Amino acid sequence: MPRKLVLVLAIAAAAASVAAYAQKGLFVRNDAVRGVSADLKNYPEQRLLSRRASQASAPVTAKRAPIPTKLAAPIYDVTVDDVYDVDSFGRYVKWLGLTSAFIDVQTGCAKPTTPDEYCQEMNPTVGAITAFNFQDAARIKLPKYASNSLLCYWFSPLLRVTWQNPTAAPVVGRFYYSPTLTIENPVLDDPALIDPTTGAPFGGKLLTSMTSSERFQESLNAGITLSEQTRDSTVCMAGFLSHKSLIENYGLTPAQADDFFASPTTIRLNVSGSVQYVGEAHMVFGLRVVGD
Amino acid sequence: MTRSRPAISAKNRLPLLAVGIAIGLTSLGVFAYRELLPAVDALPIEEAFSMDLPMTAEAASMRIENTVPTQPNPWGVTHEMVGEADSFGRDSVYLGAMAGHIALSATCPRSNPMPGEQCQVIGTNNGVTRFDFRNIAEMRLPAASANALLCQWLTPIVSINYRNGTSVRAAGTLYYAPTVTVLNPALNDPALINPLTGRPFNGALTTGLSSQERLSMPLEPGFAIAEQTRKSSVCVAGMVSRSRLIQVYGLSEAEADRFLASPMTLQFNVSGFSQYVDLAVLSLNMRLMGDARM
Repeated sequence: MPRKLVLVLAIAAAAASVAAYAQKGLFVRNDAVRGVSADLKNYPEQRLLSRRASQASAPVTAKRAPIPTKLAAPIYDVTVDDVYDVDSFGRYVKWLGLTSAFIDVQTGCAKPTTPDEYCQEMNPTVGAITAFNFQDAARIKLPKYASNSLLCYWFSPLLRVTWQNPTAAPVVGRFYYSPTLTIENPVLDDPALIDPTTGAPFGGKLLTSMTSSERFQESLNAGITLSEQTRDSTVCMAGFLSHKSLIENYGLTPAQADDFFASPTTIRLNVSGSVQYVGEAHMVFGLRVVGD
Repeated sequence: MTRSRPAISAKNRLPLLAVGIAIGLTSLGVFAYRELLPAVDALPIEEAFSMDLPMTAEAASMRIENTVPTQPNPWGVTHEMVGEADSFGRDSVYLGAMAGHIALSATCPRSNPMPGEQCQVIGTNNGVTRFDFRNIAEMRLPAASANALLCQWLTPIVSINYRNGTSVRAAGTLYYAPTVTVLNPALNDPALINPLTGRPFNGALTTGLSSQERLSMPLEPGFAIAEQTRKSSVCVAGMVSRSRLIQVYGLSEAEADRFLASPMTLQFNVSGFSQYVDLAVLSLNMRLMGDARM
Protein backbone atom coordinates (compact mmCIF):
# COMPACT_ATOMS: atom_id res chain seq x y z
CA MET A 1 0.00 0.00 0.00
CA PRO A 2 1.91 3.00 -1.19
CA ARG A 3 -0.04 5.45 0.92
CA LYS A 4 0.63 3.52 4.10
CA LEU A 5 4.28 3.29 3.24
CA VAL A 6 4.37 6.96 2.48
CA LEU A 7 2.75 7.79 5.75
CA VAL A 8 5.13 5.69 7.76
CA LEU A 9 8.17 7.15 6.08
CA ALA A 10 6.81 10.66 6.13
CA ILE A 11 6.27 10.40 9.85
CA ALA A 12 9.79 9.10 10.23
CA ALA A 13 11.13 11.98 8.18
CA ALA A 14 9.10 14.42 10.21
CA ALA A 15 10.47 13.00 13.41
CA ALA A 16 13.99 13.34 12.14
CA SER A 17 13.52 16.80 10.78
CA VAL A 18 12.04 18.33 13.88
CA ALA A 19 14.20 16.51 16.39
CA ALA A 20 11.98 14.30 18.43
CA TYR A 21 13.04 14.49 22.03
CA ALA A 22 13.49 11.70 24.47
CA GLN A 23 11.61 13.23 27.36
CA LYS A 24 8.22 12.75 25.86
CA GLY A 25 6.63 12.03 29.17
CA LEU A 26 7.15 15.60 30.14
CA PHE A 27 6.49 17.53 27.01
CA VAL A 28 4.32 15.83 24.46
CA ARG A 29 1.04 17.00 25.91
CA ASN A 30 -0.45 19.87 24.01
CA ASP A 31 2.63 20.36 21.92
CA ALA A 32 1.45 21.42 18.51
CA VAL A 33 1.71 19.06 15.64
CA ARG A 34 5.22 19.63 14.45
CA GLY A 35 5.42 20.30 10.79
CA VAL A 36 7.68 18.51 8.44
CA SER A 37 10.42 20.94 7.74
CA ALA A 38 11.04 21.94 4.18
CA ASP A 39 13.92 23.88 5.68
CA LEU A 40 16.13 20.80 5.80
CA LYS A 41 17.78 19.32 2.78
CA ASN A 42 15.82 16.26 1.92
CA TYR A 43 16.92 12.79 1.05
CA PRO A 44 16.53 10.98 -2.26
CA GLU A 45 14.15 8.58 -0.51
CA GLN A 46 11.95 11.47 0.52
CA ARG A 47 11.84 12.77 -3.03
CA LEU A 48 10.81 9.37 -4.26
CA LEU A 49 8.13 9.07 -1.62
CA SER A 50 6.66 12.42 -2.43
CA ARG A 51 6.46 11.58 -6.08
CA ARG A 52 4.80 8.29 -5.26
CA ALA A 53 2.35 10.05 -3.02
CA SER A 54 1.41 12.34 -5.82
CA GLN A 55 0.98 9.46 -8.22
CA ALA A 56 -1.01 7.42 -5.71
CA SER A 57 -3.63 10.06 -5.27
CA ALA A 58 -6.77 10.30 -7.27
CA PRO A 59 -6.44 11.75 -10.76
CA VAL A 60 -5.81 15.42 -10.45
CA THR A 61 -8.80 17.45 -11.48
CA ALA A 62 -7.66 20.95 -12.08
CA LYS A 63 -9.95 23.37 -10.29
CA ARG A 64 -8.04 26.43 -11.28
CA ALA A 65 -6.78 27.56 -14.60
CA PRO A 66 -3.01 27.02 -14.66
CA ILE A 67 -1.00 30.21 -14.58
CA PRO A 68 1.40 30.44 -17.51
CA THR A 69 4.32 31.58 -15.39
CA LYS A 70 7.27 29.32 -14.88
CA LEU A 71 10.21 29.24 -12.60
CA ALA A 72 12.85 31.62 -13.91
CA ALA A 73 15.69 29.99 -15.77
CA PRO A 74 18.90 29.52 -13.79
CA ILE A 75 21.32 32.43 -14.01
CA TYR A 76 24.43 30.32 -13.52
CA ASP A 77 25.44 26.94 -14.75
CA VAL A 78 25.41 25.22 -11.39
CA THR A 79 24.00 21.89 -10.33
CA VAL A 80 22.25 20.52 -7.27
CA ASP A 81 25.42 18.69 -6.40
CA ASP A 82 27.33 21.97 -6.64
CA VAL A 83 25.10 24.24 -4.59
CA TYR A 84 21.91 22.29 -3.75
CA ASP A 85 19.58 25.25 -4.36
CA VAL A 86 19.96 25.93 -8.08
CA ASP A 87 16.71 27.87 -8.42
CA SER A 88 17.73 30.77 -6.20
CA PHE A 89 21.45 30.70 -6.93
CA GLY A 90 22.83 34.13 -7.80
CA ARG A 91 19.52 35.93 -7.40
CA TYR A 92 19.03 39.00 -5.26
CA VAL A 93 17.57 38.69 -1.79
CA LYS A 94 14.15 40.38 -1.71
CA TRP A 95 12.56 41.84 1.40
CA LEU A 96 9.07 40.35 1.81
CA GLY A 97 7.78 41.78 5.06
CA LEU A 98 7.60 40.88 8.72
CA THR A 99 5.28 40.03 11.56
CA SER A 100 5.53 39.31 15.26
CA ALA A 101 3.79 37.78 18.24
CA PHE A 102 4.05 38.52 21.96
CA ILE A 103 3.48 35.47 24.17
CA ASP A 104 3.50 35.37 27.96
CA VAL A 105 3.25 32.42 30.32
CA GLN A 106 2.55 33.74 33.78
CA THR A 107 0.21 33.86 36.72
CA GLY A 108 -2.59 36.35 36.36
CA CYS A 109 -2.89 36.93 32.65
CA ALA A 110 -4.39 40.26 31.82
CA LYS A 111 -6.92 40.33 29.04
CA PRO A 112 -4.96 40.86 25.82
CA THR A 113 -5.55 44.28 24.40
CA THR A 114 -4.18 43.64 20.93
CA PRO A 115 -4.51 40.80 18.42
CA ASP A 116 -0.82 39.91 18.59
CA GLU A 117 -0.64 39.38 22.36
CA TYR A 118 -1.22 35.99 23.91
CA CYS A 119 -1.02 34.76 27.47
CA GLN A 120 -1.14 31.33 29.04
CA GLU A 121 -2.09 31.10 32.70
CA MET A 122 0.60 29.28 34.68
CA ASN A 123 -0.41 26.01 36.31
CA PRO A 124 -0.30 26.90 40.02
CA THR A 125 0.72 23.42 41.18
CA VAL A 126 4.37 23.40 42.19
CA GLY A 127 6.39 21.34 39.70
CA ALA A 128 3.52 21.01 37.25
CA ILE A 129 3.99 21.44 33.53
CA THR A 130 2.28 24.37 31.89
CA ALA A 131 1.73 23.86 28.18
CA PHE A 132 0.84 26.52 25.66
CA ASN A 133 -0.29 26.34 22.08
CA PHE A 134 -1.14 29.43 20.06
CA GLN A 135 -2.15 28.93 16.42
CA ASP A 136 -2.16 31.77 13.90
CA ALA A 137 -0.39 34.02 16.41
CA ALA A 138 0.84 36.28 13.59
CA ARG A 139 0.61 36.35 9.84
CA ILE A 140 1.96 37.77 6.60
CA LYS A 141 -0.07 37.93 3.41
CA LEU A 142 2.11 37.78 0.33
CA PRO A 143 0.74 38.84 -3.04
CA LYS A 144 1.17 36.62 -6.07
CA TYR A 145 4.62 36.52 -7.66
CA ALA A 146 6.22 37.75 -4.41
CA SER A 147 9.16 35.40 -4.90
CA ASN A 148 10.63 33.27 -7.65
CA SER A 149 11.44 29.99 -5.95
CA LEU A 150 12.24 30.51 -2.29
CA LEU A 151 10.65 31.75 0.92
CA CYS A 152 13.28 32.08 3.61
CA TYR A 153 12.69 33.07 7.24
CA TRP A 154 14.68 35.21 9.61
CA PHE A 155 13.23 34.16 12.94
CA SER A 156 14.17 36.14 16.03
CA PRO A 157 13.00 35.03 19.47
CA LEU A 158 13.52 37.42 22.37
CA LEU A 159 13.12 35.24 25.46
CA ARG A 160 12.90 36.22 29.12
CA VAL A 161 12.61 33.39 31.61
CA THR A 162 12.55 33.43 35.37
CA TRP A 163 13.45 30.01 36.69
CA GLN A 164 12.00 29.26 40.07
CA ASN A 165 12.41 26.35 42.46
CA PRO A 166 10.26 26.94 45.52
CA THR A 167 10.84 23.41 46.81
CA ALA A 168 13.38 22.20 49.36
CA ALA A 169 15.12 19.88 46.89
CA PRO A 170 17.14 20.45 43.69
CA VAL A 171 15.10 20.22 40.48
CA VAL A 172 15.54 20.77 36.77
CA GLY A 173 13.70 23.70 35.27
CA ARG A 174 12.52 23.22 31.71
CA PHE A 175 11.43 25.55 28.95
CA TYR A 176 10.54 24.39 25.47
CA TYR A 177 9.00 26.10 22.50
CA SER A 178 8.33 25.04 18.93
CA PRO A 179 7.36 27.45 16.16
CA THR A 180 5.66 26.20 13.00
CA LEU A 181 4.21 27.87 9.94
CA THR A 182 0.90 27.18 8.26
CA ILE A 183 1.09 28.09 4.59
CA GLU A 184 -2.12 28.79 2.73
CA ASN A 185 -2.18 28.90 -1.06
CA PRO A 186 -5.05 28.37 -3.50
CA VAL A 187 -3.06 25.75 -5.41
CA LEU A 188 -3.54 23.51 -2.38
CA ASP A 189 -7.32 23.79 -2.56
CA ASP A 190 -7.57 20.96 -5.08
CA PRO A 191 -9.04 17.99 -3.17
CA ALA A 192 -7.15 15.61 -5.42
CA LEU A 193 -3.84 16.92 -4.15
CA ILE A 194 -2.67 14.75 -1.27
CA ASP A 195 -0.23 15.95 1.35
CA PRO A 196 2.39 13.18 1.59
CA THR A 197 3.18 14.20 5.15
CA THR A 198 -0.39 13.51 6.31
CA GLY A 199 -1.93 11.28 3.68
CA ALA A 200 -4.94 13.59 3.52
CA PRO A 201 -5.81 16.32 1.04
CA PHE A 202 -3.96 19.57 1.66
CA GLY A 203 -7.25 21.38 2.16
CA GLY A 204 -5.71 24.64 1.01
CA LYS A 205 -2.74 24.64 3.36
CA LEU A 206 0.34 22.84 4.53
CA LEU A 207 2.27 22.84 7.77
CA THR A 208 6.02 23.32 7.89
CA SER A 209 8.47 23.92 10.67
CA MET A 210 11.39 26.29 10.77
CA THR A 211 13.86 23.95 12.45
CA SER A 212 13.83 26.55 15.21
CA SER A 213 12.51 24.66 18.22
CA GLU A 214 14.52 25.17 21.36
CA ARG A 215 14.71 23.38 24.68
CA PHE A 216 16.34 24.88 27.74
CA GLN A 217 17.06 23.13 31.01
CA GLU A 218 18.45 24.67 34.15
CA SER A 219 19.66 22.91 37.26
CA LEU A 220 17.98 24.68 40.15
CA ASN A 221 19.04 24.40 43.74
CA ALA A 222 16.42 24.52 46.46
CA GLY A 223 14.77 27.88 46.82
CA ILE A 224 16.55 29.49 43.90
CA THR A 225 15.20 32.09 41.50
CA LEU A 226 17.23 32.82 38.39
CA SER A 227 16.45 35.17 35.55
CA GLU A 228 17.79 35.04 32.01
CA GLN A 229 17.19 36.95 28.81
CA THR A 230 18.41 35.84 25.41
CA ARG A 231 18.00 37.17 21.91
CA ASP A 232 19.25 35.39 18.87
CA SER A 233 18.09 34.60 15.40
CA THR A 234 17.77 31.63 13.17
CA VAL A 235 17.84 31.97 9.43
CA CYS A 236 16.65 29.50 6.85
CA MET A 237 18.69 26.73 5.35
CA ALA A 238 16.71 25.16 2.52
CA GLY A 239 13.92 27.66 3.21
CA PHE A 240 10.57 27.18 4.87
CA LEU A 241 9.21 26.70 1.39
CA SER A 242 10.80 26.42 -2.02
CA HIS A 243 9.87 25.40 -5.53
CA LYS A 244 12.13 22.42 -5.00
CA SER A 245 10.55 21.38 -1.69
CA LEU A 246 7.03 21.70 -3.08
CA ILE A 247 7.98 19.05 -5.61
CA GLU A 248 10.28 16.87 -3.58
CA ASN A 249 8.65 17.10 -0.13
CA TYR A 250 5.04 17.77 -0.95
CA GLY A 251 4.64 15.93 -4.23
CA LEU A 252 3.51 18.82 -6.43
CA THR A 253 4.30 18.75 -10.09
CA PRO A 254 6.66 21.44 -11.43
CA ALA A 255 3.66 23.16 -13.02
CA GLN A 256 1.79 23.16 -9.71
CA ALA A 257 4.86 24.53 -7.96
CA ASP A 258 5.04 27.30 -10.58
CA ASP A 259 1.38 28.01 -9.96
CA PHE A 260 2.01 28.08 -6.21
CA PHE A 261 4.59 30.85 -6.48
CA ALA A 262 2.39 32.73 -8.93
CA SER A 263 -0.47 32.75 -6.41
CA PRO A 264 -1.04 34.77 -3.23
CA THR A 265 0.23 33.05 -0.09
CA THR A 266 -0.65 33.55 3.56
CA ILE A 267 1.92 32.59 6.19
CA ARG A 268 0.62 31.97 9.71
CA LEU A 269 2.93 31.59 12.70
CA ASN A 270 2.06 29.01 15.37
CA VAL A 271 3.95 28.62 18.64
CA SER A 272 3.55 25.85 21.17
CA GLY A 273 5.63 24.65 24.08
CA SER A 274 5.76 24.07 27.79
CA VAL A 275 7.46 25.20 30.98
CA GLN A 276 8.22 23.60 34.32
CA TYR A 277 9.73 25.24 37.39
CA VAL A 278 9.41 28.57 35.66
CA GLY A 279 7.97 31.58 37.48
CA GLU A 280 7.19 33.42 34.29
CA ALA A 281 8.24 33.41 30.67
CA HIS A 282 7.89 36.20 28.16
CA MET A 283 8.52 35.61 24.49
CA VAL A 284 8.60 37.97 21.54
CA PHE A 285 8.84 36.22 18.18
CA GLY A 286 9.85 38.33 15.23
CA LEU A 287 9.48 36.78 11.80
CA ARG A 288 10.93 38.39 8.70
CA VAL A 289 10.52 36.78 5.30
CA VAL A 290 12.92 37.18 2.40
CA GLY A 291 12.74 35.64 -1.02
CA ASP A 292 14.59 35.52 -4.34
CA MET B 1 14.87 78.50 12.95
CA THR B 2 11.26 77.79 13.55
CA ARG B 3 8.90 76.37 11.09
CA SER B 4 5.41 75.17 10.80
CA ARG B 5 4.84 71.46 11.01
CA PRO B 6 2.02 69.29 12.22
CA ALA B 7 2.33 69.45 15.98
CA ILE B 8 2.22 66.32 18.05
CA SER B 9 -0.74 66.82 20.26
CA ALA B 10 -0.53 65.96 23.93
CA LYS B 11 -3.25 63.45 23.28
CA ASN B 12 -1.04 61.63 20.84
CA ARG B 13 2.26 62.20 22.53
CA LEU B 14 1.22 60.69 25.83
CA PRO B 15 0.06 57.35 24.50
CA LEU B 16 3.13 57.22 22.29
CA LEU B 17 5.35 57.84 25.26
CA ALA B 18 3.45 55.25 27.27
CA VAL B 19 3.84 52.75 24.48
CA GLY B 20 7.51 53.61 24.16
CA ILE B 21 8.06 53.09 27.85
CA ALA B 22 6.02 49.91 27.84
CA ILE B 23 7.94 48.49 24.93
CA GLY B 24 11.17 49.67 26.49
CA LEU B 25 10.34 47.87 29.69
CA THR B 26 9.36 44.80 27.75
CA SER B 27 12.64 44.83 25.92
CA LEU B 28 14.62 45.71 29.00
CA GLY B 29 13.22 43.04 31.21
CA VAL B 30 12.34 43.69 34.80
CA PHE B 31 13.51 40.74 36.74
CA ALA B 32 12.69 39.31 40.09
CA TYR B 33 16.00 38.16 41.39
CA ARG B 34 15.53 38.82 45.01
CA GLU B 35 16.91 35.70 46.57
CA LEU B 36 20.32 36.05 45.01
CA LEU B 37 20.87 39.54 43.81
CA PRO B 38 19.00 42.14 45.78
CA ALA B 39 21.29 44.87 44.56
CA VAL B 40 20.58 44.24 40.92
CA ASP B 41 16.86 44.71 41.29
CA ALA B 42 17.33 48.28 42.26
CA LEU B 43 19.53 49.13 39.30
CA PRO B 44 17.87 51.57 36.96
CA ILE B 45 19.10 50.59 33.52
CA GLU B 46 18.73 53.33 30.99
CA GLU B 47 17.53 51.65 27.86
CA ALA B 48 16.85 53.07 24.45
CA PHE B 49 13.60 52.46 22.70
CA SER B 50 14.20 49.84 20.06
CA MET B 51 12.88 50.46 16.59
CA ASP B 52 13.72 46.84 15.90
CA LEU B 53 11.33 45.43 18.46
CA PRO B 54 8.14 44.36 16.74
CA MET B 55 5.46 46.91 17.27
CA THR B 56 2.20 45.79 18.81
CA ALA B 57 -0.95 46.51 16.89
CA GLU B 58 -1.92 48.85 19.70
CA ALA B 59 1.28 50.82 19.35
CA ALA B 60 0.91 50.92 15.59
CA SER B 61 -2.60 52.25 15.98
CA MET B 62 -1.27 55.12 18.06
CA ARG B 63 0.74 56.51 15.22
CA ILE B 64 0.72 60.23 14.96
CA GLU B 65 -2.12 61.73 13.00
CA ASN B 66 -1.59 62.62 9.38
CA THR B 67 1.60 60.61 9.10
CA VAL B 68 0.41 57.20 8.03
CA PRO B 69 2.74 56.12 5.20
CA THR B 70 0.95 56.48 1.92
CA GLN B 71 3.75 55.94 -0.57
CA PRO B 72 2.39 53.63 -3.22
CA ASN B 73 4.05 50.26 -3.29
CA PRO B 74 4.64 48.79 -6.75
CA TRP B 75 3.43 45.41 -5.57
CA GLY B 76 0.23 46.80 -4.15
CA VAL B 77 0.92 45.51 -0.66
CA THR B 78 0.03 47.30 2.55
CA HIS B 79 1.57 47.41 6.02
CA GLU B 80 -1.36 45.35 7.23
CA MET B 81 -0.54 42.58 4.75
CA VAL B 82 3.22 42.33 5.14
CA GLY B 83 4.15 44.49 8.13
CA GLU B 84 6.44 46.69 6.07
CA ALA B 85 5.32 47.86 2.66
CA ASP B 86 8.21 50.28 2.10
CA SER B 87 10.88 47.63 1.62
CA PHE B 88 8.65 44.92 0.18
CA GLY B 89 9.97 43.41 -3.04
CA ARG B 90 13.17 45.45 -3.03
CA ASP B 91 16.61 43.92 -3.27
CA SER B 92 18.73 43.52 -0.17
CA VAL B 93 22.04 45.38 -0.29
CA TYR B 94 25.18 45.20 1.84
CA LEU B 95 25.96 48.46 3.63
CA GLY B 96 29.15 47.69 5.49
CA ALA B 97 30.20 46.48 8.89
CA MET B 98 31.67 47.66 12.16
CA ALA B 99 33.03 46.08 15.32
CA GLY B 100 33.65 47.34 18.83
CA HIS B 101 35.36 45.61 21.71
CA ILE B 102 34.99 46.18 25.44
CA ALA B 103 36.38 44.52 28.52
CA LEU B 104 35.51 44.47 32.20
CA SER B 105 38.70 43.58 33.95
CA ALA B 106 40.51 43.84 37.26
CA THR B 107 43.10 46.02 35.54
CA CYS B 108 42.80 48.29 32.52
CA PRO B 109 44.14 48.26 29.92
CA ARG B 110 44.46 44.51 29.76
CA SER B 111 47.77 42.99 28.83
CA ASN B 112 46.56 41.68 25.48
CA PRO B 113 43.59 43.79 24.46
CA MET B 114 41.48 43.53 21.35
CA PRO B 115 42.13 46.24 18.75
CA GLY B 116 40.59 49.51 19.95
CA GLU B 117 39.28 47.82 23.07
CA GLN B 118 37.68 50.02 25.70
CA CYS B 119 38.11 48.76 29.22
CA GLN B 120 36.50 49.33 32.60
CA VAL B 121 37.90 48.24 35.92
CA ILE B 122 35.63 45.72 37.51
CA GLY B 123 34.43 46.16 41.06
CA THR B 124 34.93 43.85 43.96
CA ASN B 125 34.06 40.28 43.23
CA ASN B 126 30.56 40.31 44.61
CA GLY B 127 29.82 43.92 43.82
CA VAL B 128 27.88 45.21 40.87
CA THR B 129 29.90 46.80 38.09
CA ARG B 130 27.99 49.04 35.75
CA PHE B 131 29.33 50.05 32.39
CA ASP B 132 28.28 52.46 29.70
CA PHE B 133 30.54 52.64 26.66
CA ARG B 134 29.66 55.14 23.96
CA ASN B 135 30.80 55.12 20.35
CA ILE B 136 32.89 51.98 20.56
CA ALA B 137 32.68 51.79 16.77
CA GLU B 138 31.37 53.99 14.00
CA MET B 139 30.06 53.73 10.46
CA ARG B 140 29.46 56.56 8.03
CA LEU B 141 26.85 55.92 5.37
CA PRO B 142 26.71 58.08 2.27
CA ALA B 143 23.49 59.80 1.26
CA ALA B 144 20.69 57.57 0.01
CA SER B 145 22.39 54.32 1.01
CA ALA B 146 19.03 52.64 1.52
CA ASN B 147 15.47 53.24 0.51
CA ALA B 148 13.48 52.65 3.70
CA LEU B 149 15.29 50.14 5.89
CA LEU B 150 18.53 49.70 7.79
CA CYS B 151 18.71 46.14 9.07
CA GLN B 152 21.43 44.93 11.43
CA TRP B 153 23.08 41.55 11.66
CA LEU B 154 24.55 41.61 15.14
CA THR B 155 27.11 39.05 16.22
CA PRO B 156 28.30 39.32 19.82
CA ILE B 157 31.18 37.14 20.94
CA VAL B 158 31.02 37.12 24.71
CA SER B 159 33.62 35.65 27.05
CA ILE B 160 32.87 35.63 30.78
CA ASN B 161 34.73 34.40 33.81
CA TYR B 162 32.20 33.99 36.59
CA ARG B 163 33.62 33.72 40.08
CA ASN B 164 31.98 33.37 43.46
CA GLY B 165 34.59 34.24 46.03
CA THR B 166 32.11 34.14 48.87
CA SER B 167 31.07 31.34 51.20
CA VAL B 168 27.46 31.33 50.09
CA ARG B 169 25.70 30.44 46.86
CA ALA B 170 25.41 33.24 44.37
CA ALA B 171 24.49 33.87 40.76
CA GLY B 172 26.96 35.38 38.35
CA THR B 173 25.30 37.83 35.99
CA LEU B 174 26.21 39.80 32.90
CA TYR B 175 23.61 42.06 31.36
CA TYR B 176 24.44 44.02 28.23
CA ALA B 177 22.34 46.19 25.97
CA PRO B 178 23.77 47.38 22.65
CA THR B 179 22.36 50.55 21.13
CA VAL B 180 23.11 52.68 18.12
CA THR B 181 23.11 56.46 17.98
CA VAL B 182 22.17 57.71 14.52
CA LEU B 183 23.49 61.13 13.60
CA ASN B 184 21.57 62.59 10.70
CA PRO B 185 21.36 66.20 9.49
CA ALA B 186 17.64 65.77 8.88
CA LEU B 187 17.29 65.79 12.68
CA ASN B 188 19.06 69.12 13.12
CA ASP B 189 15.86 71.14 12.90
CA PRO B 190 15.17 72.44 16.45
CA ALA B 191 11.46 72.33 15.71
CA LEU B 192 11.64 68.57 15.42
CA ILE B 193 10.79 67.06 18.79
CA ASN B 194 11.64 63.51 19.77
CA PRO B 195 8.35 62.18 21.17
CA LEU B 196 10.21 59.67 23.32
CA THR B 197 12.15 62.36 25.18
CA GLY B 198 10.03 65.46 24.67
CA ARG B 199 13.17 67.32 23.59
CA PRO B 200 14.55 68.32 20.18
CA PHE B 201 16.43 65.57 18.40
CA ASN B 202 19.46 67.84 18.14
CA GLY B 203 20.72 65.91 15.17
CA ALA B 204 20.60 62.42 16.61
CA LEU B 205 18.45 59.63 17.93
CA THR B 206 19.45 56.51 19.83
CA THR B 207 17.75 53.22 19.14
CA GLY B 208 18.03 49.82 20.77
CA LEU B 209 18.63 46.71 18.74
CA SER B 210 16.27 44.40 20.67
CA SER B 211 19.41 42.37 21.31
CA GLN B 212 20.04 42.92 25.00
CA GLU B 213 20.84 39.80 26.94
CA ARG B 214 21.04 38.75 30.55
CA LEU B 215 23.37 35.83 31.09
CA SER B 216 23.25 34.13 34.47
CA MET B 217 25.20 31.33 36.11
CA PRO B 218 24.42 29.71 39.49
CA LEU B 219 27.65 29.55 41.47
CA GLU B 220 28.46 27.41 44.47
CA PRO B 221 30.77 28.95 47.08
CA GLY B 222 34.30 29.24 45.73
CA PHE B 223 33.32 28.27 42.18
CA ALA B 224 34.76 29.83 39.04
CA ILE B 225 33.30 29.02 35.61
CA ALA B 226 34.31 30.38 32.21
CA GLU B 227 32.00 30.64 29.22
CA GLN B 228 32.29 31.87 25.68
CA THR B 229 29.34 32.26 23.36
CA ARG B 230 29.04 33.35 19.76
CA LYS B 231 25.79 33.77 17.94
CA SER B 232 24.00 36.19 15.68
CA SER B 233 20.75 38.06 15.75
CA VAL B 234 19.23 39.72 12.72
CA CYS B 235 16.82 42.58 12.57
CA VAL B 236 13.11 42.19 12.89
CA ALA B 237 11.54 45.57 12.20
CA GLY B 238 14.96 47.05 11.52
CA MET B 239 17.36 49.34 13.33
CA VAL B 240 15.94 52.25 11.32
CA SER B 241 12.94 52.16 9.06
CA ARG B 242 10.89 54.74 7.27
CA SER B 243 7.69 53.55 8.88
CA ARG B 244 9.11 53.73 12.42
CA LEU B 245 10.54 57.18 11.81
CA ILE B 246 6.99 58.22 11.04
CA GLN B 247 5.06 56.10 13.53
CA VAL B 248 7.39 56.33 16.51
CA TYR B 249 9.42 59.49 16.01
CA GLY B 250 6.71 61.62 14.51
CA LEU B 251 8.49 62.57 11.32
CA SER B 252 6.39 63.45 8.35
CA GLU B 253 6.76 61.33 5.23
CA ALA B 254 8.87 64.07 3.64
CA GLU B 255 11.08 64.28 6.73
CA ALA B 256 11.51 60.52 6.82
CA ASP B 257 12.45 60.53 3.16
CA ARG B 258 14.93 63.35 3.80
CA PHE B 259 16.38 61.35 6.70
CA LEU B 260 16.99 58.33 4.48
CA ALA B 261 18.34 60.47 1.65
CA SER B 262 20.91 62.12 3.94
CA PRO B 263 24.34 60.87 4.91
CA MET B 264 24.39 59.47 8.40
CA THR B 265 26.79 58.30 11.04
CA LEU B 266 26.07 55.28 13.19
CA GLN B 267 27.74 55.09 16.59
CA PHE B 268 27.76 51.79 18.42
CA ASN B 269 27.15 51.87 22.20
CA VAL B 270 26.81 49.21 24.87
CA SER B 271 25.81 49.46 28.50
CA GLY B 272 24.95 47.02 31.26
CA PHE B 273 26.21 45.55 34.48
CA SER B 274 27.93 42.50 35.89
CA GLN B 275 28.10 40.78 39.24
CA TYR B 276 30.21 37.82 40.40
CA VAL B 277 32.22 38.26 37.23
CA ASP B 278 35.98 38.84 37.34
CA LEU B 279 36.54 39.21 33.60
CA ALA B 280 34.23 39.84 30.67
CA VAL B 281 35.24 40.56 27.10
CA LEU B 282 32.58 41.52 24.58
CA SER B 283 33.31 41.73 20.88
CA LEU B 284 30.28 43.30 19.24
CA ASN B 285 30.19 42.93 15.49
CA MET B 286 27.60 44.36 13.20
CA ARG B 287 26.93 44.02 9.50
CA LEU B 288 24.40 46.37 8.03
CA MET B 289 21.93 45.55 5.28
CA GLY B 290 19.44 47.79 3.53
CA ASP B 291 16.81 47.81 0.84
CA ALA B 292 17.92 49.01 -2.57
CA ARG B 293 16.65 52.18 -4.10
CA MET B 294 15.30 51.49 -7.56
